[in-house]
This record gives sequence, C-alpha cells and structure tokens, in this order.
Amino acid sequence: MKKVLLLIMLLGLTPLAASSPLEEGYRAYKAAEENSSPAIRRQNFESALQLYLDAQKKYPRHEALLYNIANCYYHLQEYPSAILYYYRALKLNPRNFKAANNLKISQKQAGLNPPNHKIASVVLFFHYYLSLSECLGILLISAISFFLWQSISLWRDKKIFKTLRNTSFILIVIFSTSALTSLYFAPLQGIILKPTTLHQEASNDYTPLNYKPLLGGEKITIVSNNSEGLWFQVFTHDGQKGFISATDFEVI
Amino acid sequence: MVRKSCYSLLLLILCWGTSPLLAVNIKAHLISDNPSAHHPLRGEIEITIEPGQVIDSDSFTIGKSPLKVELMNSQEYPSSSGAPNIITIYSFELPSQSPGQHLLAPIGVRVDGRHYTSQPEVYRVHPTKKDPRFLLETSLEGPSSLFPGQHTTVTYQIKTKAKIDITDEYFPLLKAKGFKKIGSLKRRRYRSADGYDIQELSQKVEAHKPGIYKYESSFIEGYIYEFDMYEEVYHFKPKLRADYPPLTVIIEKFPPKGKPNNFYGTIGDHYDLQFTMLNPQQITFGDPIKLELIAKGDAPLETISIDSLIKQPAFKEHFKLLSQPQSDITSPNTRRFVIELYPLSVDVDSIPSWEFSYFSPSSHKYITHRFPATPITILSDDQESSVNFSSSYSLEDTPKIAGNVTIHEEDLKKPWPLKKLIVWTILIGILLVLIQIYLKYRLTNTSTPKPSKSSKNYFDMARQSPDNWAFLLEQALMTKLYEQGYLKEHINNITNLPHEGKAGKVRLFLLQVQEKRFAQGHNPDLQKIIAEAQKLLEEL
Repeated sequence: MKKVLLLIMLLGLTPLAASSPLEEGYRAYKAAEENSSPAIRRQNFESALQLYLDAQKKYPRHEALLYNIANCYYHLQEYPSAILYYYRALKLNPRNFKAANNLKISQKQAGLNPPNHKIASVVLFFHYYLSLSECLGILLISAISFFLWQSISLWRDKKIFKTLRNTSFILIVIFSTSALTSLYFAPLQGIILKPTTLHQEASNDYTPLNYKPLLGGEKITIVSNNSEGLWFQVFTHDGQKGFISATDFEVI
Repeated sequence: MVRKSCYSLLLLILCWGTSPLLAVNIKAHLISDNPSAHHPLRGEIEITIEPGQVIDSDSFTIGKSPLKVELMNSQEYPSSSGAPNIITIYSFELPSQSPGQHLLAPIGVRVDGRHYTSQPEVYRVHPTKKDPRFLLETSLEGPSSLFPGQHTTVTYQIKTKAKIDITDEYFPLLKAKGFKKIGSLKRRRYRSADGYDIQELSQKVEAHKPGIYKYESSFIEGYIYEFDMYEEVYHFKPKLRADYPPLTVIIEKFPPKGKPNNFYGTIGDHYDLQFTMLNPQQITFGDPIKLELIAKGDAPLETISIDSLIKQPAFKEHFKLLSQPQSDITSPNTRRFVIELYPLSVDVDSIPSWEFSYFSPSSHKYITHRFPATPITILSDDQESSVNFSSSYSLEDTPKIAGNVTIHEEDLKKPWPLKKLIVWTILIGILLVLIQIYLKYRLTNTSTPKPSKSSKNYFDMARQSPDNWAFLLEQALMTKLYEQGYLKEHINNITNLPHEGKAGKVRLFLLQVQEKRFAQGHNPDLQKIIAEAQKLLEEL
C-alpha cells in the first residue's frame, strides 16, 4: 500500500520537476536580476536569452516572448537589439505599457531621444492603439454582425435593424482600412543594429551623406531595396534619404 | 546550238577575266634590309583577300613547319577594278641565322579552306664583329635577389670610342618583366676617364611579382662611320656588335616564418614612426577625428601601408573612414599619412592600439612597432559634460526596467488565422444575403399574384353589380393602392391594409362601408357609397 502511495506521489510530482524551456528562461532571468555579481548576472541573462530565442524560432510572433527577449538584451546592454524586440512586442500589442516604458529607457541608454507622440495617433487611435490582430478581430465581428442585421432587416423591416446594420458597415470600413493599411500600405520600418552611415548610392565606395552616423537603435523607414537585396534605400527619423547595408539593420 | 556555245564562251571569258581579282594574294618578306647574324629575323606577310573570305590564322606554315604569326593590321582598300579588297598584315620572327645567303621558304596559309603560298625569297645575313671600340655594359643596382616592393635601377651603358651609327639594339631588362617601372627612362651622355663616350640608359624599377626572371643577352649593333669629302656618311663594314650575357634576377617571397598578421608589404631596414591625433582629445559626436602617421626611413617609402590600422576589427567596428587616407612624401626619406575618420558611437573611448610591421631585407626579419591606444572623449549633442556610455559601465548600472513575464507553453498557442476567417465570413455572408434576397423574391411572387383586373375594371363592375358591389369596390380600391405604389404587394384583405397614409384612408373608408352594410335595419345608400368611392379613387 505504501509503495502504491509513493508511486502516486512520484507521478504527481513529475510535471512539477520537468519544467519547460520558457520556465527555465524565466528562472534564469530572475536569478540574474537577484544576483549581485556582474559575471553571474551576465551568464544568467545570456542563458535566459538563448532559451527565449530558441522558443521564438517556434513561436515567432508572441508578444510576451518578444518582450522577455528585449528585456534580456537590455540587461546585456545590447540596446539596439532590445529596442528592436520592444518594437516587435509593441507591434503585436501597442498597449503593452511595460514594453513602451522599457523602450524609452533603452532608447535613452542608447543615446537616442524617444520619439514624440503624433497627433495622428490620437485621432486615429484605433489604428495606433490596436494591434493588427485586434483590428482583424473587430473586423471579423463587424462582418458577422453586418450580415446578421442585414438578414434580419430583409425579413423584418424595422429601423433599429437597419441602424445596427449600418453601424456594423461603418465599423467594417474603418477597421478594414486600418488592417489593409497595416498589412499592405504601411512602409516597412527597421532598427539600426550596427552604427552606420547613410550613403549616396548602394555601395561603400560612395562617400557618406553625413558625417554623423546613424546610431544603433535608431528607427528607419525602408523605401526600397536594390536588386541583390544587399542595400536598402531608407528614410531616417529626421527625413534624410540614403542607402544603408542590409547587414546594418533589421526589420521590426 | 550555236547560241548555247556562244553563252558558254562568254561565261568562260568572264571567269578568266575576273579570276585574277578573285585570287588570294600572299607576299612575305623580311623587314630588316641588312639582317645580321646573332639576332632574330623579323618579317611581314601581306595577304590580299576579298570581303567575306576568312584567313585561318592558325594555319601558317614556313616550308613544312608551322609558323607563329601576329596580326598587325587589316584594312579594306579599293582594287584597281574598283571592287573592295582586304589587305591583312601579319608579322613573324625567325631564329638568328649564320652569316651568308639564305632562302625565305614559301609561307603558306589557308583561306576559306584553300591553301595559298607566297613566293620564296633570297636574303643575305651579314656578319658582325666584336670591337673594343664598341661595348655594352649592363648593371642592376644592389643584390640580384630582391623582395617585393624593393627598388632597384637597371642601367645600360653603350661605350664607344668611334663614331658609330647604331642600327639595332635589344635591352630586355628595360621591359622590366616581374617589375613595375617607376618614373620614365633616363638618358645621359658623358665621357669616361678611359676615353669612352658613354650613352647611359637607366630605369628605376620596383620588384613586384615573386619569381625567377631570366633575361636574354642584350646587344647593340652598328657601323663605324665617317664623313667623306662631300660631307656624306660612309659606313665601314662589317657591322659591329656588342653583347652582354644573360642575367637572372630573383624576386623572393616574404618568408612565412615569423610573418605578423598585420604585415601589409611594408619593406625597409629601419623606420622612425610617429603617430599622433591632430584634434583635441575631447570631441563632439559627429565631428571627424584626424590622425597623423609620420614615417622616416631610407627604404622605399611607397611600400608603407597603414592597412594594419584601418583593417583591424576593433577599428572597423567603432570608426568609419571619412575618405581614403591621404599621404605625401614630404622629404626624400619622410612619408606623412593623414587619416580622417569619425566614431560610430558615443561609446567609443579610444583609438585602439595597433601594430605596424615591416620587413627588413638586410636582416631577413620582420620588425613590429606597437602604438598604444589613444584615449578620446566623445560628447553627444545634448551633453555638455563628458557623460558617455562607455563599455566600462557595468551591468549593475543599468536603470531598472519592468521585468520579464512568465509564459507557459499553453500561452503559446498559434493565433487564429483571422485573415482567412474574415475572407470566408465575407464570402459566406454575401452568399447568405443573396440567398435570402432570392428566397424573399420567390416568396413574394408566389404568395401575392398580381391582380388580374385593373382598379377601373373592378370599379365599373361594382357599379353594375348590385349583389357583389361591396367585394368589387374593395378590390377596386386595394388594386388602385397597389397600382399607385402605396402598397408593395397586392392585398386582398382589408385587415392587412396599413393604418396610416393613403392605404389607411382606404382602410377606414372600407371599414365604414362594412359597418353601413351590416348595421341592423339600415339599408346603405349605394349611390352615395359609389360616389364617395369614386372620389377616393380619384384622390389616389
């Protein structure tokens, strides 16, 4: 009887003992935060980062995972990479205030000025404060709602049904415009990972446009790329247009 | 029969007349008028062909042996008959011949698959003679074994003690195979202490490509001459010749043993080096940094390279060159480099230390000079003080941020494929709405057939039918409502009529008629009702 009880206890404990890589990553991160030795901290942050990066290969678009990766990069003082991953997390959830705050700190650490809020972000709040998947979710609900009220108003000619149908249609227009803009019309943006300079043409042989280099962590807007994909024409945050090497940045 | 023979004869005459024009003409001759012994004979082959004909340049033969030729020129000329001809000239070289009479064997070539040959030609090779009044000396400064980058000077001295008209010369060292020429060929004339008039040709060269270079013997040929009583030149035969034996020069590879990684081909026995930063130590981010390297030494200053500085990873990571380094030779033994660069980040705190290596040819050793790191302070635009985010800043100094969140495997479910769902919802929704519209249309059409008679017909029938007037009057009014568009569908029953608008008025009128009809002890005034109904019909 005792043996049976022991077996049941062991079976019950097994799931607790075998933790997932994500949990191990979290533990390594926490251990790093709590440790006072820089060498051990670095080692733990690095192992946490590696575990998270491995998980990201399987789940490339998971907000919390991207946020955790960004935090690891931050503690390892790789601010450009941290900024990149905070932006990626914010792209999936623009209302992740922790990520937004950490992003500002990382930008300051990288010697950058955090960008100001635009008026457009207030007016078109649904576009700036809702993620693409949220926009698509609302669009889906609006579409279902529209067809429902349209069907009802076909058989029951009442004003309320028509009002609900029209409201659904307006929502469809708003959110489909927002989603289509995000998906197909919004320019690609990237983060400078390696300080570089803007060039006049797609080659290192051309003189730089500006002596002042683009810093790691700066946000750029991609205009086009050359046929080989080795150089990209970009806009910087201050409106300068030029070419940078594909190895110097990553797309958000 | 006679006409046929005439045509044949005419054709034969034409063919015979044009045949010399169509023939390929090949002529071969030696270029030199007085070919002399001990040096190769050069000649030319002139081939005349018609446009469209092709010369097989690999098919040249002399006698029965193949002949190597080189195309010199090919040009189109009009022939005497006016038709265009192409004249192509090839050159060839034959080995030196002994003095005496020789035959230039027929030279053959294939043109358009047919073989053509030149006429043989007789030529005479004149004897040459060595004479102490006519000498040639060759010298190569320094050792015969050099390293790439080392400089030397090739000198030819033509020494004469008489008036000599030089007819031919061959100086293979001036072609500088394996070397790079530096500057132009220098000539000077002077008289030596032993009474020779010396014409000196010298060329400075730089050893370039490692290898063993064998240069053929050099020679000069010419005639002693005098002016006769008529002031005309008189050549004394035989021709004189002066040779210098073949020379071998070795350009060695740099020894791999002890070769530093930062060696970029600088050569010299000793250099005094001075590396300085020309701008203040503290600069604003975005400002260029100017560095200067001054190298003093006797060795070829052209070989000095600062690649060991600009190609080292630490330098490439933190700095970008503004332009290619500028350099000039300020004095015969001093070279100055100026490097303009800018830092890629405010974190940069020094110009990294670097090593300059050169190879000493005399000791066959590499010498390395190490420059220490030069500290710099870079201020960012908005920083007045020297705050920077240098690499020395420890992990503990990082400002606190919101920490990581726990994630469980079950949280990592793949999101719904919303885009596909939306597309399918819209498609299915449109389909369902269309189906419903169709269904409604079908139902409307089957449940409410169109009235068979017009309102006017019903009204006329009502007036003429005292028994069934009430039903016919109802039909007339309701049909009128339908005809005028007050009703979307034809209604047969009063109770289904709407309460408002024109239809409501008709409903009220018909209900009043019904009341009058079914009121006890009351006989309705049919004429009055018909008149009211007509008035209502006109209103509608």
